[in-house]
Parts: sequence; C-alpha cells; structure tokens
Amino acid sequence: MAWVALTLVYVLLHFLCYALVLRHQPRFTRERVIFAYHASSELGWALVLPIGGILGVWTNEGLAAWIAAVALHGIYSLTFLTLWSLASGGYSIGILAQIDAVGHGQAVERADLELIGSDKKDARLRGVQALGLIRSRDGYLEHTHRGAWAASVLASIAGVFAVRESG
Amino acid sequence: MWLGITVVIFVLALASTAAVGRLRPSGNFLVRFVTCGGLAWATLIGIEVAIGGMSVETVAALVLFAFAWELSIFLFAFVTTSVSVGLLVRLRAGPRSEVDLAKAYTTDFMVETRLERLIRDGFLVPVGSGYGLTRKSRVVLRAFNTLSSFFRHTPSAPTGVARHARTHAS
Repeated sequence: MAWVALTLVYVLLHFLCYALVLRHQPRFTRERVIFAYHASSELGWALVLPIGGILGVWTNEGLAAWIAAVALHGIYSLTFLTLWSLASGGYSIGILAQIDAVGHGQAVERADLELIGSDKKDARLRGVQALGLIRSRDGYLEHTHRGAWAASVLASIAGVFAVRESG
Repeated sequence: MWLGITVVIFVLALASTAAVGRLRPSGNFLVRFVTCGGLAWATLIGIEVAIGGMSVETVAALVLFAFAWELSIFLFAFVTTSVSVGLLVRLRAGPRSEVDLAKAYTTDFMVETRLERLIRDGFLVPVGSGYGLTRKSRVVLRAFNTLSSFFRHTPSAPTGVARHARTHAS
C-alpha cells in the first residue's frame, strides 16, 4: 500500500503547487497548459513509481499497487479538469447567469441568450478545425479521417445511452 | 482475478445504466450514473473483500472502478452537452457549407434545448414572461463564481448571485 500512500502525498503536493504558485501565472489560465500540467504528471508518476521501486528509493510493489496509484492520480486529475472546465463557463451556466442578471421572472432578451450560443458555436467550430477533426474544402466543411472516426465513436456512445440530441 | 471481476462489474454497470436510460429517457443522467455506479461499486466491495479481504488488490479494484466510472460520466456529459460534439455529429451526413451547418444547428435550437434541460433538471422555473432561478441553480451559480475566481478565469458579467455575495461580503 506504500505506493497508494505516496500517490496521495504526491497529488496533494501537485495541487498545492498549483493553488499557491501556478494559478497566479497567466499561462495557467490556458486550457492546453492546464491539461499538459495534469497529463505530464499522470504519465510521469506512472513511470517514476516503478523506476523508484527498481532503484530502491521506495519498496517495489506489484501491478495492483501500480494500477491503484495511477487510477488514484486519474481521479484527482479528472476531477480537477472537470471543475476547471465547468468554471470556465459552459453555455448553461451563461444562460443561468443571464437570467439571474435580469431578475426573477423578468423577460430575458432571447437575442442575448442566442449571442452566447453564437459565440460558443464559432469558438467550437474553430476549435474542432484546429484539432484537425474538420476541414474546409471549396467552401464546404467536412470531416477529416480522424474527425470521421471521432464522430463515429461519439455517435456510438450517444446511441448506446439513447442520447436524443447532442450539443 | 480481481482485475477480471472489476472489468465484468464495470461492463454490467454500463449496461444497466444504458438500460435505465432507455426505460426512463427523461430522467437526470447524473442521478442514473451515480445510482447504477454506486450499486455496482458496493457489489464490487462485497465480492473483492469476500475473495481477498482488505488487500492491495481490493483497493486497486475499487479505485480503478471509481476512475473508470468518473471517466464514463465525463464522456457521457461531453457527448450530451458539448457544442463541438454536436457539430461533429451533424457533419456525419456529409460535407456542408458553413451556412447550411448554421441553419441545421441554429443558436435558437441551442437556447431551446438548454432551457428545456435546465427546466427539466430543476434549475429554472418559468415565471411570468421570463424565468426564475431555483435554490439549486443559485447554489450552482455561487459554486461557479467561487471556482471561477479560484481558477482565475476571466470574470463574466456580474450576476445577481455575484452581486448578492459581494453585498454580503462588504
């Protein structure tokens, strides 16, 4: 169980490092940077644990302890990234904030709500193009090979769980 | 052995969540995932402890299941609510011009589905000619403001909840 205990200490330090120092740096407000901070830590820790065991820095434990440690770090990172993403303001949160701003029961300007959606849609369209999932050809948007594969996987998930509409 | 049991329980939990979703498609997906996942996790504890006691394998099985389940919730929420996923899925029918895509995926549709979902899940109530926040949505907005400030995201326009919080703080 030493690796599990070590992982708990490690993720606590990882979080404190962000909370006390890194979150004050402007580049740590960028999605790619925050994702890299967690992904590199997860991969690095998965390698450091067995290497440290082999070198005798700590006791060498088996596959079960390694899986437990990596999954524990995964829970921490996924929770952190989900909260980070939610806090960046989803569309639903934007709608709630807008309704809250106009006041209880007051008519909300439909155009304001649609403007949030329009900005989000444009940003996401640029995002999926930047990720190489969609390309523009002769004025038409189409999937790249990778995009077609990703869309099939996502549509399968939606199909299995009976999602009526996505987005 | 412990890994195989974890995988089997995970697959069964996913299948039962999908089945419940088909039987009650209007229910809240998070409640569905938490209920089915919680029951499966409790079953896993029983089986693993009965087989190996409180060993490192038992801990590994429980943590692995929890991680995989959280990942499933994240993926499902992503597929259900992501604008990017909506755009990707709509292009499955073939190439479309930006104008066509904008028509097929209108902001009006986006607003409508969000409002429906927020009312169905108890975050909004229709009041008069507009809408009202519920206690649940006020808690969510407060949590959002706290998190947003912690993560140093660019502040959005001040909301009533934010103004209320500031008034109480000053």
